[in-house]
Amino acid sequence: MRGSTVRWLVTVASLLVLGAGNAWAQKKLVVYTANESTLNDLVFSAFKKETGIEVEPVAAGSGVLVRRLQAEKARPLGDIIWGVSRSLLQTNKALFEPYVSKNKDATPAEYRDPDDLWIGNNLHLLVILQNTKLVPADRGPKSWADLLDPKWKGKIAFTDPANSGSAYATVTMLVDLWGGGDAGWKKVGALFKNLKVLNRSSLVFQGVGNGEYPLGISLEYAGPLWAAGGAPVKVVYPSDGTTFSMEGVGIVKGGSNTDQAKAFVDYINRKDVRETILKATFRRPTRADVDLTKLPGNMPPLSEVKLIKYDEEGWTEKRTKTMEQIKDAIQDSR
Amino acid sequence: MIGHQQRLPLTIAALGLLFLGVFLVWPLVNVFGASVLDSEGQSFTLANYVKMLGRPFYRAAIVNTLGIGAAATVITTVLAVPLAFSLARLPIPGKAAILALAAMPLVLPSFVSAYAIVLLLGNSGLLTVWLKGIGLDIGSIYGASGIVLVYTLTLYPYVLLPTVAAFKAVDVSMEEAAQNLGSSPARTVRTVILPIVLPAILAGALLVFIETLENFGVPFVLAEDLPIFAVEAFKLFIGETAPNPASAGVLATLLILTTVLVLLIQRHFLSSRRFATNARQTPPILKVGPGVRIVATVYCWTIVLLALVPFFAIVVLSFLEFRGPVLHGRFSLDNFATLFARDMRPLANTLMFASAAALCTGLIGVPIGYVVTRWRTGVATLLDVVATLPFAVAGTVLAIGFVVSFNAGPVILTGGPLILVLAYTVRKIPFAVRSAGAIVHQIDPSLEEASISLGRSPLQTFLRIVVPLMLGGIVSGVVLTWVTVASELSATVVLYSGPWRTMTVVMFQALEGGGAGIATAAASTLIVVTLIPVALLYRLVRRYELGS
Amino acid sequence: MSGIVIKDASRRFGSVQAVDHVDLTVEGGEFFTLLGPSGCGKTTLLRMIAGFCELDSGEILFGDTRIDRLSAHVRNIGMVFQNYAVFPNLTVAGNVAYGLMARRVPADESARRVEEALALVQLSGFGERKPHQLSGGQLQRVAIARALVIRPQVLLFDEPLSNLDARLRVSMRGEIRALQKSLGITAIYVTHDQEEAMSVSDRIALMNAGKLEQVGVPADIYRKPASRFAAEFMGTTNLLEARQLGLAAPVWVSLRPEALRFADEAPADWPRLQGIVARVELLGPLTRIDVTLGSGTVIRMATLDAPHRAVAVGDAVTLAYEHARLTVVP
Repeated sequence: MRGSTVRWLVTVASLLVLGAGNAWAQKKLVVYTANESTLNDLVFSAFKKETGIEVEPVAAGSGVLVRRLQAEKARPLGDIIWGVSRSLLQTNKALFEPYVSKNKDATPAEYRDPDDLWIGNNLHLLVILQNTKLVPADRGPKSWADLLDPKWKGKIAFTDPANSGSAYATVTMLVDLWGGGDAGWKKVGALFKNLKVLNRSSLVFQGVGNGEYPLGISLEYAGPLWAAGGAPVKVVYPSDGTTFSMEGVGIVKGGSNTDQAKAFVDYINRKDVRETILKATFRRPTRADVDLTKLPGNMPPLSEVKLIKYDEEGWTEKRTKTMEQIKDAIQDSR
Repeated sequence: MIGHQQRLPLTIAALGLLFLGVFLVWPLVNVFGASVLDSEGQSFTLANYVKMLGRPFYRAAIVNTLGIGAAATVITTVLAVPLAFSLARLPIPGKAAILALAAMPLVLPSFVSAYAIVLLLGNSGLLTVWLKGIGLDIGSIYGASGIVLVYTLTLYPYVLLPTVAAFKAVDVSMEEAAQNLGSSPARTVRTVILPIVLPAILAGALLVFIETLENFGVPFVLAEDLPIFAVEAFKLFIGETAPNPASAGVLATLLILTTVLVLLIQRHFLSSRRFATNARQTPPILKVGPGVRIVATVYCWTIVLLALVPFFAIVVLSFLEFRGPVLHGRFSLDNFATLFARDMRPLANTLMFASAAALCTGLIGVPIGYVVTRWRTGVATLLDVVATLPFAVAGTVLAIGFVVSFNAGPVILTGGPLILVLAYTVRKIPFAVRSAGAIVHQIDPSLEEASISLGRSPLQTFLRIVVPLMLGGIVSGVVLTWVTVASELSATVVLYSGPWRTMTVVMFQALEGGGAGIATAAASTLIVVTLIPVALLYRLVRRYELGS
Repeated sequence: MSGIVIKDASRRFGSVQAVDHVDLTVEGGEFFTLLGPSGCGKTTLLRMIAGFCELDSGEILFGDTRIDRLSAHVRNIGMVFQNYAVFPNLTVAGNVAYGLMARRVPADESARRVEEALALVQLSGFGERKPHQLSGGQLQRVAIARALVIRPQVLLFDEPLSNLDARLRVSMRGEIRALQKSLGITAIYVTHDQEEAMSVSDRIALMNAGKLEQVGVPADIYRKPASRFAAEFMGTTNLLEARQLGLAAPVWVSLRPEALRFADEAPADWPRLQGIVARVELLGPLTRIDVTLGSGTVIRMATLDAPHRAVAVGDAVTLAYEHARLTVVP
């Protein structure tokens, strides 16, 4: 009996080891992606179909990915980092290799690095999501200021800025919008009193989509994505103005598949590819030549959204100190 | 000079300490170094600690974590001990089924359980809405009460399983002696039985407490804005915006110190009261009236089934239609179709990693457990403490230590599968050491001496006498490791690379993105794939133990 | 047939000197017993010989070969344990063959020797049984067969009978002694039971607090105790100052209860003692009687059961003792 148990275990173990041992012969590309799996699957399979390059994704939060890139600096394991914010790309420029994308001219200058170390792919407008089953469409907030109304206390989901670049951008934008300095912080403090601060951005749009929270401060794409699935979700573009955070791609310096990485950078910003991505996942492209009115999702062209000026570089610089200020403000508002 | 009978234990201890030194202590030193260095990384300072403890936010996190942990531990224990007693001593129908079902929640990663709980009991959860329809308001699942609820439902097996065994090990003659001396049954339970089972209860309860300190998946989803230690440490380590290794190191160090303190208290308490019982036969099932019997049966089945609600919910959800991330209540096999259309590599990876890690954990943990139980020397105590340390280390923390330590220098492991297996092995070693130690306690040392005097060397004796006698326990320990590795997320998500994605990573990423349907299908698949070998192995073991 | 020589062996555990500079020679083929109360160091000394306990100083030789630096598994010793230590995962035959397998004895020879060994301990036909199917006495026989079959240089017994019931203990000790004598193997036997020790041993070493108190043949140790400890440990005795018996010498003496008789049954030249009966205890063949002497000293005597002679508490009696059996103890 004992002998057969041991033999059985050994057989299972050796089968498993053999099963995993088959070699990787074809051309490959290791992509560190902060994008969600739907978008990853869509892009990587289409990319492979077209180019024959097999993508090995390492998907994680952008914080994790950047920490990994930094830790692996001496011996990079990834070839590309994709789907991380402009400020992260900017602060980690030293890790990237310059490349002039074929789509450089179609991409406005503000969405790419002057030294071609990174290039932007898409824009996330900071918006309010509304669950129209819990709050009828016409009775929701119209602006950021409306969110200060005490009737929304505990009904607005928000992501902890410590774990989300866009949440950090939202808070700092509102500080500026509401007068800057102490006045701005005071008003943001009042807003915090109405918020539920969740640990992850996915909890915000899941929360609004599944009806856990009537309102959520989130990114634009989540609205049409959940609406397309049949959830009662509406996007509110704040009338007092908003800004966007950009996501982009950079080639890792010293990666072992740099040629494939360049092909990917070209592929990902091509016009038809951006349209395919928008149809499936509602990512607003950085390219100026994609006509949103002809595509699903009811996303208004950028020209129709009231935008306000946001000092991204300034706030990125002051990040550590500002984060502590935000933490304290949240704690004070509890 | 090293004495001839010290050679085997010293060799094992040296190898064990070498392994743990390289793969546990060194990564941790790299991670925590930051917490005691000034901002230039030059000189030693405790300023980071003073600063963190001075902030009310982090003080609140400490209070919340300890409070939730204590509450969950007390409630779990209060619920599980009567359950254990009923299963050991009362006539309850379906005992074997109850015990088997009780271990099932371990198969499901806790972040998936938490997701299911929100879908069922959240503000717009299916059950919440239904209960509201019949006029019942259950309140919010979010916050401390919800976290305690989930902990209670998922962690009670840690108290239940050892306590059932302890109740069964009570020597009947002691009970009879007490009753002959005129003690009432209730008094007998309190004065004779309880002191004997107390060490087992305590060991289980402290395991629950440590799990609550370390757990990250449940508060991540359910805490809303309640600050929780493990979550804040995670965010400080790899938060998107302002990663702060010094502050994160402070939190992680405090977390480890708390756990070490709890462990030391447990060791002290258990070593000062060891009740040896020498039960020759299992104590009899008590004769009770139908009333007690019905109450006990309802009680047992209620707890076990309640704990399985998230488990069943996930299985049911996996057969419902999801459009993008949105759930529609219609039967569909699309989730599985989408899942299986994708690369099935993650499933193979999960099975392989779990098997390799379970094997390594057994190979390393069992000899260590043997040494720390048999030899009461300073080296053995050191080994025991170091081997217990991974209990106290959150998966994320260990994983970051691995990346920092093994991406350059003499040992390069990042990017391959081995780093995952090593991380799992280190994380699961305390379980192997403890369960092996518990079995070694029951093996009479004179058996080994008899074998040695008959001409077998200590190493041969260990392999030919000790290991066969431990086999049942080793196999169930290996199976438990296998299952818990298959559902591990926190270290995996930091360490996996390239093609080495696991099923939990698939679930996590699908849930993060718009693929809740795929996540539930993946979870159901993982449940089936892990439960089948578990059931087979348990049958093998039981036949081995009962047979010929 | 090698003897065992122990030279100046010592071992300390923490603050306890478990074995304290012991010198001892055991002759080849001798049945030698280490006797003493628990904690006296007898088991530690045995474990030193077996190789389970290291010496702080001193040496141990089998014949001319020094063995105390050898690993336990190469010393070729047969050891029998208090709790049998029969491997529960092997059959009876498997247990007995275990040491032969370790020595790579060919299968057919091994089978034959196992059969012989089982026959020797009267367990022929039990080979395929599992240990949990055997009684305590049978388990100990398996353990003895297992120790004998490897033809050890030395047999060590560590309180082998104390887990058995009283009747079985008596018959087993006879068997062990007979077996040892018929095979002629040097044996060292540890026990705390002086009656068992006297029954089986050629010689006894009485141990106390890590030291040898007295070494000798059983009769000498019983009859001529070298110390008060030896006198008291080897059975009931009256330990008295000589003047309590009316003697002048300033010494302690030991007087065994059976050296006393009632005066009317004793030779006329035995010294007499007067007293009052304080207690009478009939133990079957033997009656124990406590007598309070005039000086207040209580003296214990033992006589064979004598129904014709009724003694009751409170009776005034005259006792006599055999002067030759009065032993002066230092």
